Amino acid sequence: MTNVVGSRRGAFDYLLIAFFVLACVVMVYPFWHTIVTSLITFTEYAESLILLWPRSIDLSGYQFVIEQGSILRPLQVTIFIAIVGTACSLLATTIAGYVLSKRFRFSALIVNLILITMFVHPGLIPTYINYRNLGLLNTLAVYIVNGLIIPFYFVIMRTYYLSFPTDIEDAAEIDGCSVVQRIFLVVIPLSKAILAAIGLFFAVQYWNTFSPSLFFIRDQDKKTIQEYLFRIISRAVGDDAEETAAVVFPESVKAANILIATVPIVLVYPFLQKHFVKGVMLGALKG
Amino acid sequence: MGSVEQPVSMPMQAERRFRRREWSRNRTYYYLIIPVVIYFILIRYMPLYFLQVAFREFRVTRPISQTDWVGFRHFTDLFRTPMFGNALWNTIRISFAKLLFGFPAPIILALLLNEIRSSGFKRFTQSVLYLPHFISWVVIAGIMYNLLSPDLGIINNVIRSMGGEAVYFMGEDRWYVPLLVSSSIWKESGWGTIIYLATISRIDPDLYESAMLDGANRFQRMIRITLPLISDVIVVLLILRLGNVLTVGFEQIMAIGNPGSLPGRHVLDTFTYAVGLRNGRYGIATAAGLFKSLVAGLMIYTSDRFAKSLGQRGLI
Repeated sequence: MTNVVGSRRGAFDYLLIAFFVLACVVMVYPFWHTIVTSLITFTEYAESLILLWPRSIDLSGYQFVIEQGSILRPLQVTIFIAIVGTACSLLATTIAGYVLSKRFRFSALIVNLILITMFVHPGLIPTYINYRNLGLLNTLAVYIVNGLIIPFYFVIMRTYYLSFPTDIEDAAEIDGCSVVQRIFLVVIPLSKAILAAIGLFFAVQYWNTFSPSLFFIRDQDKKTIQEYLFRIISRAVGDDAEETAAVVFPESVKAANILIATVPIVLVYPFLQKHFVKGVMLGALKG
Repeated sequence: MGSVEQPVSMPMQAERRFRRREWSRNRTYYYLIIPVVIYFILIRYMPLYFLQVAFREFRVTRPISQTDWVGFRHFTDLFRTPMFGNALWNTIRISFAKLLFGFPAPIILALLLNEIRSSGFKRFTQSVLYLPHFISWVVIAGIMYNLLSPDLGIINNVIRSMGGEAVYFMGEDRWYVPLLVSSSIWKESGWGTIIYLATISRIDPDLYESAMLDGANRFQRMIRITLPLISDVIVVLLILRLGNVLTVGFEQIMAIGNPGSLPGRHVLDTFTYAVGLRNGRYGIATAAGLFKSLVAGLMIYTSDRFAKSLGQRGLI
């Protein structure tokens, strides 16, 4: 950006382009390899040195995963916590960010109360005991409680509302809007972009929930897709002789599982991409 | 006496009246924020109370206040556990390897990205480099197992085709740390450039122009202008990073290292999980967590002091 003066492409520029093309390949190829693996037959997989393009499409990996069916429940759980969790987190973060952008008697104290939690972590066991005392262990609610407010996103929201034009709010107040009406009818509609950014962050975070499932959930039917995938992967390390091997080859089944657990993120990524840099910057620079 | 009381009670009354007015004006704010405050006290601060498990003989069946104090016994037990020493050593060497190779990676990448002249290509590259940040460690580990498999993994295919012998990357101990470091760089270095690029974009272009008039080439401008002007950000991030020196990424270690079946690969966080939640030895596990927090606090404090003694702005 700053270096446009005297623009004549030299050897350095071509080296730079080559380097970043290579970097992009390194970033993308692992995903592409997984996609191809999930789509081909064992013969093709065994014969190829490097997978570039599927010669023929074979969906038996996916068929096996779906017919066997054990992915469906973790998938359901994860979709549920991603939707409900994102909604709860957005609501809580918006309210906390907006209200604490106002000045009232305890506002500074409460802001500090939240900021301190960025640096003070009680650790796993005390958190576990606390959740047990609150009756949250082994419930779906623990996922949402555990990820509800991230101080960093709260800082981003509050910073945004601190620079919010007050005239609009004053106008709404003169028109007789209550604070709650003001939040839902004026403030939220005017912060759609930042809400989209933070909402996508939350959605990804809930979708990738792994350790809370490991720590706080015992019942198999409440585990997340990430822990389910973890079980599949770490099982295959010890014994490569899978019971699946007779029907379809394990790499293809694993690849299909991996892709099912990744697809939602790749689908939201273009939208995420549009907003997140702005969001992160706002929080990082002023926070 | 009355004349003495008057000036005291007047401001008190006024203050009470002021507070009542403050309360009624901001009532809705209080109603909205009280649930948030309750959440933070109950979920984020309440666990601090249970840190005393590190000094007590914890029983699941009894309230914590009715259990016996054991002093520092859990700590002495902890330091005598060979598995803890091993986990601590792993944590330190993984952390320093990541610091040495992982920390400079986004800085170098940001400096190079800044040199790209075509803004379209730059934007495309950035969005590709950011992508892995959003992928979970479990998924990445799954992909790594496939790519690095000794049988038909593509890396070993290439090694074999060049006449080499297949390497069991995910199983061999000497590949453990290199794989952790390189996968961290792969996942996070692109994302890490954001903050540096933002700082670079706020540098005054006049500086570059006058440097060019003085005959500075591109490399010189990068080293003499850009790098010094982002050094504040580098120092702050380095201090924060040093504070997390004993946090090496629980999910990454679990997924890639698989310490559940290879106990030699434990780090502090996985040790706490295995000993505390899997074996139910809460006291020792809490002591390990507390030890980690103390070291983290000490590291932040020392590195901040050190940065200030070097004339940097520091953090605290």
